[in-house]
Amino acid sequence: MIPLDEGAAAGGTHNVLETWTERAAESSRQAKVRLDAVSKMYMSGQGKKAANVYAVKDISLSIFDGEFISFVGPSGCGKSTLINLIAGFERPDSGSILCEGGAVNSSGPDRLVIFQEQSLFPWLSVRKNIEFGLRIKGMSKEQRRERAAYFLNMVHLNKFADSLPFQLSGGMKQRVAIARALAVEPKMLLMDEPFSSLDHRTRDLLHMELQQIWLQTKKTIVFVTHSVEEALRLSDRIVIMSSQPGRIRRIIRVSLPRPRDFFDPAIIRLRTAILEDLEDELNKLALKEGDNDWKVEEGALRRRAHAGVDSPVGNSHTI
Amino acid sequence: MLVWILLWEIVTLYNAGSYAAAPPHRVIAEFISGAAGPYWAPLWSSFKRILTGYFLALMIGTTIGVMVASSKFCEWMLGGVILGIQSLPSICWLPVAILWFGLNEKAIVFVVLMGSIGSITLASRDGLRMVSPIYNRVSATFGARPWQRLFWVALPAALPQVISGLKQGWSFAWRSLMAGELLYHSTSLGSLLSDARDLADYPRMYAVMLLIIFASVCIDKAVFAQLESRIRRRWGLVEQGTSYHRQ
Repeated sequence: MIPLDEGAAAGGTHNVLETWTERAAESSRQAKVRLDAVSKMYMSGQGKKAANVYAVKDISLSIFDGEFISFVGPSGCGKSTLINLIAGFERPDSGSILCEGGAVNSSGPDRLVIFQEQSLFPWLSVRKNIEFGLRIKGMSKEQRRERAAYFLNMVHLNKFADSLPFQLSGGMKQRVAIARALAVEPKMLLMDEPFSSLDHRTRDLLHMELQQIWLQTKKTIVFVTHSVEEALRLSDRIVIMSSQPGRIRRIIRVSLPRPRDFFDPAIIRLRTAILEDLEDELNKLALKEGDNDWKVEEGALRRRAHAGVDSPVGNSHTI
Repeated sequence: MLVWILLWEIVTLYNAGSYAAAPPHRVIAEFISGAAGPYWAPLWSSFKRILTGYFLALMIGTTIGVMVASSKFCEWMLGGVILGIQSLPSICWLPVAILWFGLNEKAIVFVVLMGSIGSITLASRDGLRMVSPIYNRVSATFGARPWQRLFWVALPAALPQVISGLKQGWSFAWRSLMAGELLYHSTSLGSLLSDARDLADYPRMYAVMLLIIFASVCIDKAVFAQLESRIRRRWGLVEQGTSYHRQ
């Protein structure tokens, strides 16, 4: 596919989506994580019907130092499995995963995961939560205090240092989780749908905050999301996955300047193109999770995407 | 409550001649005079026993609970044994205890220990099993070592569930202690009770029963209920008027 810049007219998918070519990139940048023909199976069904199904199959990908990369795809495309594999929670059935040249054998604080659900320890204050990883490392109390204060400041929660998690809103909790993760200075952050349970306004705020943190710390961030908008707003590259089995369908480079506006015509064009591209994926999902004759109306997504121009951002497209 | 006391007074009034008649005003008078001095020594010695037995049960019970919760082999080895111990009334251990330790303090403490260890073990096992898997993954991603996972994450996370088992263990310990003390004569609440019967001092008998109820309720309210509500509040398990920034 021929890379074109985002300014090109929205003729068809191929004109708008600038597909990433691995070869061009490898020459210029250092890979942080390298996945080589990674496959992971899981058992589906019970008893006699049980069968091995590929969660992800033959995934090869390089994740570069300091890059913000997103995985987007319908449910069941294996994007969370990929995060678990990189994190070391699970081992691939075949293929290899290298992080900075070393094989990934177990989970550890160099590849820190931020989860979708509430993951703060309810019995610890915000400050103590942020100190948790440092305490595990055996850092002295004074150093911990100092480090925690720095990251509390980064997520703008100084005021709430001594609050308990239940006193915080969902968005504040995720900010504490981010600070807790950053405090141990991981090489990379793995974010598994971190904002998907938040309301849109809070999510907006956290996008800005995460982007700021990313620009400030230059961490490598791997971000899994359902939302095309979210991915477009934050990422350098978007990996679009397809399901059954989970494979990489397409990798898109987004080189628009930041901060990005949802209403920017270039963003809208990209979003339309991605959603169009994913129409058959949704039909696949409809077949799997519904009746055999359930089908997404042709072009419906594209129209919805265009309608999004003059509707509030709250009308987000999740796939 | 007052109605019951009144009823009690009336019933004893009608049976005034009976040897077992102990009207509440005499019981209360006895209670007050006992509380002024004579009850303290037996209360204290009973307390020492239950505290020793319960503390041992807490240590051993949680250790076994952790083992059973974290290993299939331990569950297989010990799961049935714990259920067996739990269903055997703890006073049945007294003959064994006398055989092992002789009729002394140790035997009573052992009975108390066996009485409360079952519920403490089961509570810590079930509490640990119910800990949300997310906390395990958080400890894993931060690279926590096994003992750090246990003491910094799993046990605190299980505490709200475990605490109710600790409370139950305490009430079993209390029952075991009384049963043991009724059989083994020494300076203790149980012996005070059986002595009162032997001496046909019925007001004292009822007064000691009141004392036992009183002591038990006090511990329950002052220690366990307090602990439980504090933990629940801190863990955010109750809706609180003071919570702010809630969506």
